Amino acid sequence: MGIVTWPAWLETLLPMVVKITIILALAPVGMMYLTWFERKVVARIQDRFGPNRVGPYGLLQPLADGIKMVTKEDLIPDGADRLCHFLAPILIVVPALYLFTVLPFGEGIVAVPLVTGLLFFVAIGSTEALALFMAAWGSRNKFALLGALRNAAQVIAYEVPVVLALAAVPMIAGSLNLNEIVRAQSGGWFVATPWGFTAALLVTLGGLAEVNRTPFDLAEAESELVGGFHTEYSGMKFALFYMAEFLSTLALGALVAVLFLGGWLGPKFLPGPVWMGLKTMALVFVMVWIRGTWPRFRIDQLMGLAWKVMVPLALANLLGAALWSFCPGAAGWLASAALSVAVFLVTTQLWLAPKPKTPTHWAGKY
Amino acid sequence: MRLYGLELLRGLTITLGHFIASYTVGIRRRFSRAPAGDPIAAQRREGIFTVQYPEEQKPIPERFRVLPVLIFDGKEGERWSENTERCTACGICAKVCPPQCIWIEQAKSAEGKPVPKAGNFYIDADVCMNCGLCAEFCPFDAIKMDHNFELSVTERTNTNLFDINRLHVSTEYYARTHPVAWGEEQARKEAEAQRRAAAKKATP
Repeated sequence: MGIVTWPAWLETLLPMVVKITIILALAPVGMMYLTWFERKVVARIQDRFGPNRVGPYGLLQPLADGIKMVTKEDLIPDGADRLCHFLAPILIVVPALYLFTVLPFGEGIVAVPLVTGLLFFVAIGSTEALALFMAAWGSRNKFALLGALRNAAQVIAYEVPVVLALAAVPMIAGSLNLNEIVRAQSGGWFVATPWGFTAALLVTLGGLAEVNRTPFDLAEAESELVGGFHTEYSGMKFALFYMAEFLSTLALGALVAVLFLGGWLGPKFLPGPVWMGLKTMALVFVMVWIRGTWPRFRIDQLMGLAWKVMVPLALANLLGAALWSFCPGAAGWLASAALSVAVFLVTTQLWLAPKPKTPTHWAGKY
Repeated sequence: MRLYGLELLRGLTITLGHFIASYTVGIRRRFSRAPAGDPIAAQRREGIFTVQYPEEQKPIPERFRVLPVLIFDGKEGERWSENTERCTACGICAKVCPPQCIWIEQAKSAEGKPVPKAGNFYIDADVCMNCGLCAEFCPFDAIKMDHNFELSVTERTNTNLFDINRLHVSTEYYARTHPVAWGEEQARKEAEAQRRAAAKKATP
């Protein structure tokens, strides 16, 4: 019994407020250094140094970029829907920040211990498409609108396989609470199972599409759409779009770490949050690595991959997870693996293979 | 029939190879002595290719040319004098200069008579187009093209009008920056001297 007795609602609210404040304070710093990290890794991949002039190893570069962004002129196009144009960058960052509230960074270290954490994550994550569309609509720019329409189609297409792949995890772990999911992996990480491996791949790739990163960054395809949905944005508003993208990337890395790589679990010589951080950064590295390697998809390839390969694979994976769960031992393991491999081979051969060229009616005439 | 995804993975291994090599080669480079001769070019076969300009510099090819300089016979660090300068103020360079950026004032003796020396010699560095015709035409090997391209200034109306003091460099400096051309010049002069001596001997 303390000296001051606080009302019960305050006692639950206050720790949440403190934790959310910490997230709000750390998120921009994290985003700034993610840009630095990404630039450095991509530079090394391309045999360059990357930023190395501002501060040691270019560590002050994000700060310099921030100052530049803040002092830039904020332009609003003449025919813009000013309210939409103003609100969009805010509405895109807020969900990206929400994502961190349910992620457990250690045993019980979570801002809001929601029972339906995974569901919350998925639901909030997909609202970014709306803010993106607001940005494009508010700009009154055809390129921006094209980008946003592409993004809407893309998010609808990739939500399906991602959620289907995610569904396997609570099916095995028996809970939507991310803390419980991590505890369910104390016997072995889910990525080490055939269904978990497939689901991790599907979630990572589909997640890349949802947060608009290469090779799925069609909404902002620089070479086709000027800048895509953020064509008409400048200064800090523009930076907010990048902040949302990088925060979502970080959150995606953290989610995959929690769901498939055992979250904070790890050998005891390092504390849980450190393990969680290492796994998240490893996954972020993989995403940057992918960005430095693969070219951007064409829109039909993008949709084809989602509907023709990833959706069947995610469905089969759900069945595979069930088989793995009901037939313990090698039988379930093999069945699950065989199912995933078979579906992958069949779908890619059936639907991804290039069609033979058919001669057009004028071929040979000229 | 082909297996999808393999080429994507192969691409990832290639980029990862570059990522890792950029560190391993960089560390090896840091702890190994630079090979003799052409240090930077020899090192840049793998790893990071960036030459960080102000700190390190690619070697300049000998025939690279920026802005003419006047040559005097002497050592580096010495000041030119009327006795050591090679220029005779003949004005050929000023005549052939396509953008007409050379202006020569002939020196005068104490009595006011013109002497074959340059009293002052101006080159407008803003106008010069680095063609090197002046150096080609000079019969006295007095004007040569330089290597120094680090000429940026914040004030140009006065600074970039180079006068005779700014333009003069020693033969030692020129021999260092242009070893091949200097060797050719020396050989040519020696052969000329021998020919003259032989001609003198032949016609007593």
